[in-house]
Amino acid sequence: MLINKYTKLSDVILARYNCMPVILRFGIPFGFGDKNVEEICRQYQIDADFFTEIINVFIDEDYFPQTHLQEFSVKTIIDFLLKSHRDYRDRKIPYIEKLIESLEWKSPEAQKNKSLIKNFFREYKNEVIEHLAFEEKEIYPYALRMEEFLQKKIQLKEEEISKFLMNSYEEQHDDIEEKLLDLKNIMIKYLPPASNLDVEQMVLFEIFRLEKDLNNHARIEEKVLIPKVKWIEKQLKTINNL
Amino acid sequence: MTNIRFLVVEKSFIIRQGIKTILHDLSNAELIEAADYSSSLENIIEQIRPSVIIFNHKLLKQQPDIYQILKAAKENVKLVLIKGPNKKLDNEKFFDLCIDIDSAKSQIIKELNDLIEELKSNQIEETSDLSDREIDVLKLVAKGKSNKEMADMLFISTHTVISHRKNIIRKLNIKSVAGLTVYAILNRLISEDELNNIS
Ligand SMILES: [Fe+2]
Ligand SMILES: [Fe+2]
Repeated sequence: MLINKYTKLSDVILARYNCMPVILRFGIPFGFGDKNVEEICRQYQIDADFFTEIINVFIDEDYFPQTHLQEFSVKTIIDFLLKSHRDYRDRKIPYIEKLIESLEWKSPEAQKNKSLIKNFFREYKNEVIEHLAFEEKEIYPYALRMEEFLQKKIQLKEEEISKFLMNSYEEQHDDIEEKLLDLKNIMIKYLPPASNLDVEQMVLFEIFRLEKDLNNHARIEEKVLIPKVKWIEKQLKTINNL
Repeated sequence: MTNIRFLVVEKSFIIRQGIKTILHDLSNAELIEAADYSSSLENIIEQIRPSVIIFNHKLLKQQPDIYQILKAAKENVKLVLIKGPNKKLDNEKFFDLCIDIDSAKSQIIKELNDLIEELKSNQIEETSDLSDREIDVLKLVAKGKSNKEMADMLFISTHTVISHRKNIIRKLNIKSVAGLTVYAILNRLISEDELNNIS
């Protein structure tokens, strides 16, 4: 199922609850009655086309956003990406850390497993934080700058054009999931079961969810942000040649 | 167990989706490409190396040269034909399976499952147990050794080290060094004290 501006927001969640965190990131609280996407977006001053695209990316793995690509500003895209970053860093990852902390094993010998998993996850967390910080410090400000240059039709110097970043960012960009896959495999196949199985299961659930969310986030960066900024880079080159 | 790869060559979107739905219900089946037939079929087969090709009998009429392509591929690939209701075709023997388009879903699933079983029995089942040599390599990976260092310590070439590493990753499904280290500790291939001594 895909949504459009006339889909009722309540129907969206009832059909695909995995989009709830996204709705939250847009700052939309529950209790929206029978309002459709367009009405809600107007109420909260959100670009309805953009909202629709993002939700579709999250509810359908095969969805390839492109229809409205040129319509949203880089700023709109980045505002959303930043909200997601904050959510990963301040809530999702610390929550998984807390769950891992509360895992228990019966024998003191097996308790060592906890520090193994904890250390592994800490290392992973540092990698993610580094990835997010790089984007926040380098990529996003760059993208915003490019958009500003284009809006003001600023002529760039040859050397500034040679410093265009999007191609190398696209090549190097990864969705930081490899270690999560490893962690899932270790917990499912090799780790002696914890005595509080319910918590262990919650850890796994959260890892699966985080993995999916990060994957969708990377898709938005790769399928929405990168093409948009590449397009801007191209326009800037053209302006320069005139 | 590696999945059996299906290539679907079918012009009709509706039929393609129908086949997709059926394949979804089979275990160990993986749909690689639902291709619309174009002249590039030969390349597609070359690239994705399917185990099974499913296609519509109409193609044989519309594109007689497809017969040659399939003949060439037949040695390594099972050919499944979808034919019209109650039709008898003279070249049916050429195919490993002919599916009547009006068949019930359960019937088609049964026929395809038989085909998958046949293909699976030809595959050599691989165990995920590591060989002694792979365990040696794993221990050194966990201790943070480079490929070159491992090669020197084990008296093998770097090339061999790399291929051992690839096998370990495939068998355990763990890619990162950190993950492999956790595995090694959990299985007591290496103690945490040993690790602490290094760092
Ligand atoms: Fe990001
Ligand atoms: Fe990213």
